[in-house]
Amino acid sequence: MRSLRERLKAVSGAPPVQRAAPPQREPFFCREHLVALEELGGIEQTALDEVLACDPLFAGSTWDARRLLFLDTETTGLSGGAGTLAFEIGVGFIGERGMVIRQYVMRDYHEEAAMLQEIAGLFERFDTVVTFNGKSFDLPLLESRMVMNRIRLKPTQLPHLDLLHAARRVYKLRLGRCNLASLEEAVLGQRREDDLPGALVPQRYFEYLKTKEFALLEDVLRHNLQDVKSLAQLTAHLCAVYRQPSLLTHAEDMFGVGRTIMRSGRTKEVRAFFKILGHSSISPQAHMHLAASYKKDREWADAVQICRTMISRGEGGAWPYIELAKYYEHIAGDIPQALVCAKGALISTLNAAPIAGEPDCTPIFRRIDRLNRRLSALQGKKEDF
Amino acid sequence: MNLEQLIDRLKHTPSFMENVTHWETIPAKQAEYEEFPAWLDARIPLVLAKRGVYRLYSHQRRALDLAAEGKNICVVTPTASGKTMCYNLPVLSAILQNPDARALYLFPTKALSADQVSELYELIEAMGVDVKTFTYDGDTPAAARRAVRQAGHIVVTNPDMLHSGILPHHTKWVKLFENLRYIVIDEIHAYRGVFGSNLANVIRRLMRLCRFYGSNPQFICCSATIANPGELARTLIGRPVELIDRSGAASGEKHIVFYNPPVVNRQLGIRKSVLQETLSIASMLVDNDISAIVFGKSRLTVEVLTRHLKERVKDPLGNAGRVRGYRGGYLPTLRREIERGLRQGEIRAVVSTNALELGIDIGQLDACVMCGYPGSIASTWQEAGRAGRRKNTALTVLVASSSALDQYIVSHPSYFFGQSPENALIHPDNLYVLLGHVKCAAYELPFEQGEDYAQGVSTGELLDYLCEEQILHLTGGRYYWMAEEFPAADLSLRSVTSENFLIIDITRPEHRVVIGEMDRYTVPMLLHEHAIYMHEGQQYQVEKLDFTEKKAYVRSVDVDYYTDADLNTSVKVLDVLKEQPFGGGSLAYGEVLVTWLVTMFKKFKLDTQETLGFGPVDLPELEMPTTACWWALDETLTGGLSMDDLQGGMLGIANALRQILPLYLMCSARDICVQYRVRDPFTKLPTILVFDNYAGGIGLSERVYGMRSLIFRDVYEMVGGCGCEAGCPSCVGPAAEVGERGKQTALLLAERIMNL
Repeated sequence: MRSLRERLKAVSGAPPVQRAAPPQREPFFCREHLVALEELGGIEQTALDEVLACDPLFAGSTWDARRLLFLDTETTGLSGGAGTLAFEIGVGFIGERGMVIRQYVMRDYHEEAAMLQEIAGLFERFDTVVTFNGKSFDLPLLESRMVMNRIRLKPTQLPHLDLLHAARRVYKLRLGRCNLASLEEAVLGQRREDDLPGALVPQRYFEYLKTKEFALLEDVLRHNLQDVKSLAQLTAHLCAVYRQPSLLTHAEDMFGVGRTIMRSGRTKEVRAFFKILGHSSISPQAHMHLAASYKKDREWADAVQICRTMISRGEGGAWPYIELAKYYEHIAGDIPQALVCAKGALISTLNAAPIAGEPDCTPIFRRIDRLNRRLSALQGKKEDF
Repeated sequence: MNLEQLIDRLKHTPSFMENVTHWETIPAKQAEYEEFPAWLDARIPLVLAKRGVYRLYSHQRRALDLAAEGKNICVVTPTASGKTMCYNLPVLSAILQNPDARALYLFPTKALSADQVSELYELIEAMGVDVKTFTYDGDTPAAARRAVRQAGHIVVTNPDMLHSGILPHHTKWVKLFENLRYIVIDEIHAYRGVFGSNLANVIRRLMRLCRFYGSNPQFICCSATIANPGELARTLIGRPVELIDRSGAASGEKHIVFYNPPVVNRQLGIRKSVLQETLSIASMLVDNDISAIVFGKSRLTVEVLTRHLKERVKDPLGNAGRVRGYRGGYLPTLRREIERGLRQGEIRAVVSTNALELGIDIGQLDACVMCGYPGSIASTWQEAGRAGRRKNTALTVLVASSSALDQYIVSHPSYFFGQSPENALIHPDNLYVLLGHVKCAAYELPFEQGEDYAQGVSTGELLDYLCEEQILHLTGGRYYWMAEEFPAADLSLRSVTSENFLIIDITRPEHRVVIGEMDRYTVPMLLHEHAIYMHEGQQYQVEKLDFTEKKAYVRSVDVDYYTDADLNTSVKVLDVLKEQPFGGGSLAYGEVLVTWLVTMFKKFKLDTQETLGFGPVDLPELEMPTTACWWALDETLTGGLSMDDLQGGMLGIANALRQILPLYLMCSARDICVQYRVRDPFTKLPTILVFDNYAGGIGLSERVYGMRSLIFRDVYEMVGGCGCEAGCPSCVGPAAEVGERGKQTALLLAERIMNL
């Protein structure tokens, strides 16, 4: 009979590899960089109202550029379970002479606890964390690691600005995918040279663990350094966009900004915005939002006007017809007119069918049926008189 | 006629009684009551009193007392004896007294958890207390998961979800793990074989995490009647267990009747069809409006029986809703509807596979008919338990098929009633199972050097191996996970893969409907193109099977035949792990690769079961690595036998082994497969081979290897003791199959092996 080890090999075979133990000095690796303030696009001028515009759900009550902690991690996987670690944590904060960026690396797993202790200390020294996709990735992961290392700190409960969501609101329509590299290129006008693709990062770390060749991690550190720097630049940029939307050159971006401002209630400004956009390539979306905004405030005449404009320009398909049908039925009480609009909606839907595919006209038919019934009831009443 | 009258009538009907080999009457039993214990939160007895429960059954009281002493318990009592109270009451009391306390409920299937939780909800609602009970499984919406993790007092889930959804993400469940007070595992008898071995390891991982978070939960397990509930519970949870197996619940008089269909051809040993006989008994029950459950062993049997019974009860408009089919593969909503119909008494008869063996609440029925012996004593009792209300008489009829096992059971009733039910066999230290779970455990929490994953497991050796494989990384005295992958995703707890095929009805092309689903392993048998697929008695023809998209398109048809596919199994030896001489040949144990291929199907006429024709099936083969043991027979054993004789003799021995091995290994006949080859390509000798019907093996063939030649004495006795002339379905198989001298040769071979 074979030994357990031999049987294990039979279960899944691959040859063993020998490796040497690394020399140890400090509790973990740390490298510091200084980035001049001028390179950061005016991060020191950002203000709370701008941040609130970027992220209407921002939970912090203050905003001080010198009390922000920019954070980005490099991890051993993307699964987000208890076996995934952040082996590198890059942080940045604004100091007297510029932005200090510190890159912490655990040179082996046993250095994790000390590195996390250091990070926990930093979290306590700053007011707000700024990340890119930290809400669903970096912070829950760090929280999980804190639990595993019995550190009672909950990174997910700190005031936090997640630039992914803020940037998405502005650039989603134009860029589609909003990852940090594509934003750097399209928005900040920077292009990464020889960047290590994120998907290769875990493998790179495992190779380092096996060989202890620190040079293998230099690509990862360079990638992460750029990430942390971009966090500050993107924050500054987004705040500037909300401070002065006229700086934007793309209608899609303006539309994104307008929609976000609307959520924070700057109605007048937004309407002016959407009126301008009504002359652009994204006129239908702008008009729909404009009409919805008027409708919300029960400014019916303006809402009707916008819908009429849309219809005359053939914008928004059945949408303006249905909105008008609702208005005439429920607000104006003009059933015949509502019926005309509902029929318009049906025709517009059917006309769009060859492009849009099999349309579902059931709700429109239901509306038409109901209006017909109301109309004949009304006519019945008239006859009674 | 009511059931009592019907029973009386049957007893006086000679044409029925002459086929009855045994009639067992189990007398009615009075309930034994006890008071509620004083420590129980006072709100509980109060709310139970409002529901008509003023006292506890004695076994419930004992469960509560032992739980209060901090013991792990396992409750084994019959259906409808109020076992859920045995765990709900201690759990509720603990949470009412300490709102931080948490409990985890595990049920083997989603359907069961939904069912059992509704009872708990009612109790909590009636008390008006804030005890949050949440189901956490694949169907829980992402938005609700956060609330479950944070606030759920009682989290109800299944082993699969615990394994891949909770344990690997334990840092999100801090509240649960820190305060875990009780772990409830219901239906533990369902955790046999690979599934049970996997669960035992999931529990090991769970307890490892509990230690990390500083909690030490107690276990409450429930089981149906099996031979070794205590042992099974102890192996599953890896700790000592107090067994409670004396029920205090009342039960009515029970009649258990063994019925052997009459012989129609003495020479060939052919009996009347088990299907026909089951049908006529079931029809008699349905005609008298006695609520009944009919168990069929395969999906096909269930569908054929359902169709015939529906035909029988059809009203002039063709409605036959009083009779329904029930099996895995029906959509959950349909199953819920049938369960409800049964509870409310609108459905008077249900035809089911063993899917209804488990504790799904369908109320109690009056009678139970089994089409063939369910394969184990435990299953038989479990199925019989579906008949019988607390105070009323119940009737169970076991109709034997012509298989040797069935024939043995009905002709040896003392064996059945004297024997304790089967052991539930699990092997948590199976290397395949173990390795997968050690990986998961290492992912969840780094192993400390010197830490033992489980008692008796050489953990260090496993961990060092995983280091060599560069999956783990040893540093600072701990083994860390060093891979991108998520190990729980690569390990399925059940041997049957969860990838299911959808069955889509395209009878009305504009209105396609998903009518059911089927596991990958059964698809080639039942859903190949041109197969007649039956669903709730309705026939469909398979028009197209899309293997890559996992969809079968069927169209409703009305034909007078059904189809059954032929399965070809081949076995290739991969590695010999143990070997010893066996005469001049050898007996060996090792790893094999089993391949299944469906090549053709046959059409059978619905009423007479005669063959109408056949057709080809063109589908990819299925593979499974497992363990096997084999006897290679040399000249000393096979000397003087012609090729034909040897062929017949070995087939006869294989047939006999198929029937005897399950009794020895206390497993279901499905768990093990017997093959023979007159010249085996691996051993180059005539060879008989037994393999575990589970991926990776589950220790059955290893035990066969350990028995050496012992089993052949039983083959000899069984075959020699059979009264047939030249082989019958009860011993080596009919002469038409094994040849005129087949029985004789099998006896000779068995005798030579015995005398080795």
